[in-house]
Amino acid sequence: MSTTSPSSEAAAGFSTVADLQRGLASVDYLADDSLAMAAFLALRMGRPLLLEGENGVGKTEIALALAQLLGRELVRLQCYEGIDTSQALYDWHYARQLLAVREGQAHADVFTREFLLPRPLLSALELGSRAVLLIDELDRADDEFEAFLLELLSDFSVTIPELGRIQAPTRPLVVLTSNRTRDLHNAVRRRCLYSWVAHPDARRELEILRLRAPQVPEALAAEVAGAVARIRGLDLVNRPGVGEAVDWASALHMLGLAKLDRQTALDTLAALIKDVDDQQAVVEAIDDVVPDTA
Amino acid sequence: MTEQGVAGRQDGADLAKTCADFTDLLRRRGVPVGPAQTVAFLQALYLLGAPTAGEFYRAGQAVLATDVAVLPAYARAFAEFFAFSDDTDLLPAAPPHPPTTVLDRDSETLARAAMDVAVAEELQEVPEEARVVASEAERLREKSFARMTNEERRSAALLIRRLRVRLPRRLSRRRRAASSGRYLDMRTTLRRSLATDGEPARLGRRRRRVRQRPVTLIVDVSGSMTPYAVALLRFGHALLHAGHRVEVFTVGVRLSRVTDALRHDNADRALAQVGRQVADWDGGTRLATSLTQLLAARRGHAALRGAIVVVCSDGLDRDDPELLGAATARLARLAHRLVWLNPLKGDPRYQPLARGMAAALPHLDVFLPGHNVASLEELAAVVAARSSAARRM
Repeated sequence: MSTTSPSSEAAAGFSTVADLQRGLASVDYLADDSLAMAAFLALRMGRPLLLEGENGVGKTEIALALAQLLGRELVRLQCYEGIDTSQALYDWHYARQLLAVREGQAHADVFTREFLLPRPLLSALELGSRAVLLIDELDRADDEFEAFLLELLSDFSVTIPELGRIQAPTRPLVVLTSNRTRDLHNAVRRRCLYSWVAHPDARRELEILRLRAPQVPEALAAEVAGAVARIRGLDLVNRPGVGEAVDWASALHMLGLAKLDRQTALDTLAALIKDVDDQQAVVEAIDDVVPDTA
Repeated sequence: MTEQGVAGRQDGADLAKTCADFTDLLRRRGVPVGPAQTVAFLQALYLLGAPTAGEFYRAGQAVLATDVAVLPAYARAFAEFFAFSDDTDLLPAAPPHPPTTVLDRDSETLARAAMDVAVAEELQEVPEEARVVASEAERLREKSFARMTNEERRSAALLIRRLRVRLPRRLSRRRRAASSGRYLDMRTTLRRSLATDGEPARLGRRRRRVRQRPVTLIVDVSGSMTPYAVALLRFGHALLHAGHRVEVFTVGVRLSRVTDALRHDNADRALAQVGRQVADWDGGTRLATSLTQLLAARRGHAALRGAIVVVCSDGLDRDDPELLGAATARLARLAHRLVWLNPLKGDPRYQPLARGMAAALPHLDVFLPGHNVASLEELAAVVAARSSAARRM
């Protein structure tokens, strides 16, 4: 596996979309044309990249792949309800501040950089273009946090009341992901480049399976990819993601299977479908999912 | 659209114009594009040099179509834009270095163009009709929406607008500073102890914030339901303008989200907007299909999970009743409270015998008629009644 030399100038090495697509493939991420275009523009224009899609389609992985490809540090912020600046941006080291004040430095300023604890957002800003900032599952945070992110996403600076404005020396690559459990505000969308990440089709799924589960023989992998694509076509509550497809293929291989058969498919369904209603739906449609090739 | 080059031999000003024309068309076709995005799109085109049609399409998709919901509209507008002429040289090539002045000038004209659109869409205020006399109001409260004259409907609309709803609340994970509370507020504590030489004498406190649960109205707009549907849409409009978190969907043959159409301050105009948007008004109902669609599109969405979901329908469904039962069961599992309004229940002799209704019934938390103002008041009360119990989350 060959990657581009890890330097902050690596971005400049990708002069076309196709270059970036090949680069991502070299770190085991197969991006389709739309996603590659969005990532390319995000890199070259210094704009954040907003990825939406169902669970398990590989939204988070693209940030990991970009960080690896560009040789940048990945700074990850997992969002949740109620996340606020003290967890996302910075906090003060209160214990040290208290001690400093009690040590008789009562008139000393305890709101200086040395008492500041950087959290992911601030770390990424200070790293600038040496970082890939992943803001994961933004939809889980609440409106208030989204509003706060606006300043960060538009001019890559934050204001700390006691210290003043901190500006990123250069722009980090920001990747935001959302599962659409809440509608993101338009103001956030407008500041971002957008890509809807869909489930891969059977052909691309096969390529992914070959990359991520190389021990599985190609014939079996192809059957798995086909079956998974047909299962996603059913009316399911939770459609299986890429990770589940890889698990399933590995499980089938582990059982010594060279060819997918209905009974084993049903026996190992737990690796693929994680909802009892969905399992029932697949069992009912198994004749279509695993066609008779005998 | 082929992947062959569509670059012509013009200069940067033409590229800016193409770009502006394209975003203008997008706006008119329902893809909301801000001036800053247009500028970004122009930058993207410069970056790509001489983009092929495919690249133009994907770059526009990344920069301008920033919501999966607008992708179909984007694709249609793109096809339309390039269908205007057979000239494949439509797309001007970018000069090697973007002239910064073009970008600046362009953003200004674009901003002005966007303003014009906003001004044109500004609608003049029409005052709502005046007051309702008290005795009249009492009579109207009990009268079924279907039997009202137009004039009575106007008065009833005013009564609906006056309904006050207290929605159940839940504890948020977000904390705020408070005079008392379970958690220590280190920031305030430190600030206060600066005054006492570092002695934390007075502690700051934080407590969890309380959030109102959202309400989602799902209104059946099939023929027999029209008078009730209009009343409930008015109810939704009133909730929305009282500052509650509301989503409103209509179901007929199809599911449509009409929340944005209801945002207009004037209820009549808002309803007219809904009427334009919902094509299957007065058609039949495919309730089960629509609910399943809603569940698929918004599963886990805040509009359903932990929300108050109100379905208003007579339960006369063209779909398989079993499907409706399954959809209702799933809805009930996701929602905080599932309320069903069936105007037919306003008749004391009513029995829920329609097969769809019978299938849905076991999964409901509350079953109300919703056929007159009094019943909508009851809905408001029932929804609020559990507000203390809701704290258990």
